[in-house]
Amino acid sequence: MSRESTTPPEGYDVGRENMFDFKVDDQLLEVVETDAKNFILTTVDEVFNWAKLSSIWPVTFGLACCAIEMMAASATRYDIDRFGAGAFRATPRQADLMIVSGTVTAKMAKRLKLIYDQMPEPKWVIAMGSCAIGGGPYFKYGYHVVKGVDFLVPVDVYLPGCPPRPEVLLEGLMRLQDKIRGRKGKSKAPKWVTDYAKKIPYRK
Amino acid sequence: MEPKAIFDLLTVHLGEGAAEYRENDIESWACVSVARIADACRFLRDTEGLEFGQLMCLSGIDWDGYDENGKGKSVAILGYEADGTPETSDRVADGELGVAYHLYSHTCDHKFTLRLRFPRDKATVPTVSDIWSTARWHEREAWDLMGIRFEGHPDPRRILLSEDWVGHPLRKDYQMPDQWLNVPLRGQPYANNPFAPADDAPAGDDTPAEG
Amino acid sequence: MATNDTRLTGWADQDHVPGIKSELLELNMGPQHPATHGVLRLLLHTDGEIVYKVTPVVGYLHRCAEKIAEGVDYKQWVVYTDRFDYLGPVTNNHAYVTAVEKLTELEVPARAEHLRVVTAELSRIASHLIALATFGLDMGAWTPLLYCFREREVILNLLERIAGGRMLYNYMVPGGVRYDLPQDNWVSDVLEFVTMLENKKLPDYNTLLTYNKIFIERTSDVAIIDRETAIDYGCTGPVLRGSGVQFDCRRNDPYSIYPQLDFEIPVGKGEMGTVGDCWDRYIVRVREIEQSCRIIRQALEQLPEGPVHAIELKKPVRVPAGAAYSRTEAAKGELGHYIISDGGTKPFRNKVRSCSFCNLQVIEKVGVGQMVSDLVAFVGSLDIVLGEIDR
Repeated sequence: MSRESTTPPEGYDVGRENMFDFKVDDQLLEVVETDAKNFILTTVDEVFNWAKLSSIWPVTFGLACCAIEMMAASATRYDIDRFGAGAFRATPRQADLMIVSGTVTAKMAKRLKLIYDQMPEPKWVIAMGSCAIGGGPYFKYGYHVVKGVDFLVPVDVYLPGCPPRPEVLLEGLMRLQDKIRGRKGKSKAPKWVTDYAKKIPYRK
Repeated sequence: MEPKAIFDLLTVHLGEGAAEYRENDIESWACVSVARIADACRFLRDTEGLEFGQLMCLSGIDWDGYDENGKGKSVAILGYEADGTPETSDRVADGELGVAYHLYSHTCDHKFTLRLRFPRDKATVPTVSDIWSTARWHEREAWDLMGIRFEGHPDPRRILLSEDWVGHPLRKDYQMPDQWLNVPLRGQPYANNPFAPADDAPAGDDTPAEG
Repeated sequence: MATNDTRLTGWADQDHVPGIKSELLELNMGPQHPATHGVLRLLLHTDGEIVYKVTPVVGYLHRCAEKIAEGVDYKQWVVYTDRFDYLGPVTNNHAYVTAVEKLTELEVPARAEHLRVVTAELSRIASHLIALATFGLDMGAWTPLLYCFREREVILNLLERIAGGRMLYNYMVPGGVRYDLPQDNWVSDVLEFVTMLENKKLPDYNTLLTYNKIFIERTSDVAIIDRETAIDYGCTGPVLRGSGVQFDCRRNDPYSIYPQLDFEIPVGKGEMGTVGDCWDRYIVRVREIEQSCRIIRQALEQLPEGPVHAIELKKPVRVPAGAAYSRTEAAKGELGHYIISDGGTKPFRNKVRSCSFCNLQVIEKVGVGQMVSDLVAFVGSLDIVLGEIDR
């Protein structure tokens, strides 16, 4: 906890020598308590979000040419592992990101939905490549091509390109990380945190 | 061996009237009648001196709307419009279907082409999958995309499209599907297209750079 | 497939204990799987570990390329050819433009032919590098994957400098290539890369993988395709050459400037096991990389001056009416196009005979009697690409 939360606001006459040796009035106590609790919960949110974004594990869902650029992004030159996302899981049950890289065809659509449903919450989807965004070059005469993966699953980040360079995939990953960073968590703080909040020294 | 010599041997075996020879600078072919194709292929594979052990390619062809004058005015196929809905047309197709066989011999190092043509409502051809095993998948694809039945095929299912797909897409009168079993196949027009030309921009030509 | 067609090797007989009843287990190696190369689905009927029946199910990447060919121009369709074998895309371009030029009377300038061969062979090396990498990965070897991707990055950079794209180029047109050499020292960079590949990297791969005892044990005498089966099933490329048949479209059905170039056709000889096993197909690919380096060096030394396209790029290609089948040696095998033209700017019918489509079919015969992990090795050695199979 930073020092700012334990020092009283500017201009307030403390009337004491020792930091812990003062009597605080109730209004300030209420403000300080809510601030402290909000701060703790916000910090907890930040911590959890930071953990989530630093270890996004994708599921191996390479469909077509973009999959090769995804593999190149996880190779040595454009190492995706430095973002924490290098552990590609083969099973969707252990993954939290689905990078749809390649054309989604009508025959594959059901399987894509199955893989998406098997991923546990929270999960994100990156639509990589123009085929996954809007059908790509197969828009006009593609009778078997789904014109964009957002007809099937909700997409968080769209990456243009045919295929997008690995740097574009890394940028998309960073945008997704920004999206996760600003996420308001629905989880409550654990009990040890709320107990500690009650034991803050300036509360008598 | 020259294609004409191969064709002469073939006619000797098949008899008169079963096959015709079409001479061409680039690729000559033999036009065989549908009932004798399996016989012809077996002869071409098993004879000494011909030994066509490999079927390079088996293609299904839809001749509907072909421009016989060679001016490039064949009937256009139907696709999706710019806003994603399928194009429709009332034209009824009545052309013939065809199959082309391209054979190659590793031992004698010569090639040969056979072609069939048959009407649309009698689209059944004897199979050659017991002669060359590679024809199994080629014939399944011809059935799947073109709707040509091969009698005697051990596994006549669709191969590229799903089993419950309706229609044969490579036909010239195929209309693009709007959806298939609740999987949407139509496109989606842009809601706000940042790359659309401004309202007061002069109307340009949208066709691709040609001539 | 009829059950009396199943052919069991010595493995299956040993496991049957009399008096114990067992059933075949239907196992699905689904379209999403780390070991299948793309969205391939294999339906296996296994008895324990031994496979009695393999049924490949394809079509999960069917992108309607042949229908699109009837709707777009000859020049515009070159973009879609890249997406067939997306590991070595320039070879697919080469196959298509050769097929179109067979029907027209376009004279491709000599400089364009040389550039075509150089870029196609670089793409072939890139495709074979991935074949080696993923084959090693299927066997459990991680290092060759990273090494091969590192080499592939250099090739992709070189091709990006000349063609503009990193992985899919759209580099050729019927009548030539789109772009001439860049103004920097591209030629010397290519020669430097080729020399480094031959002298330092291929010996590395040979030490790591090719002559590695574990790799040899896992791949020799596994999934033997004999000569008659290979020809009957229409296999081409390293699959056919690994079975001992000396056939290469660049030599037997020559096109472009290959008659003037001096290179060998590597053929599997059964050095580590039987002719036609997985190791033979693998070593054919390694030796083809060496031969491609030779071809690149010769083509660059003989590079003439001149224009790089026969027609202006703005003009459409009008092909006289006719029909022809033409085949070239793509990275995975024989890629053929049967183009029927009606005299206009769009083809009337373009049938693509892709190598992986015919190569994969052999798994229905040869996969029977293998163990599941040998089947994975077999699929890896066939080196299929689903973009080609499904088109």
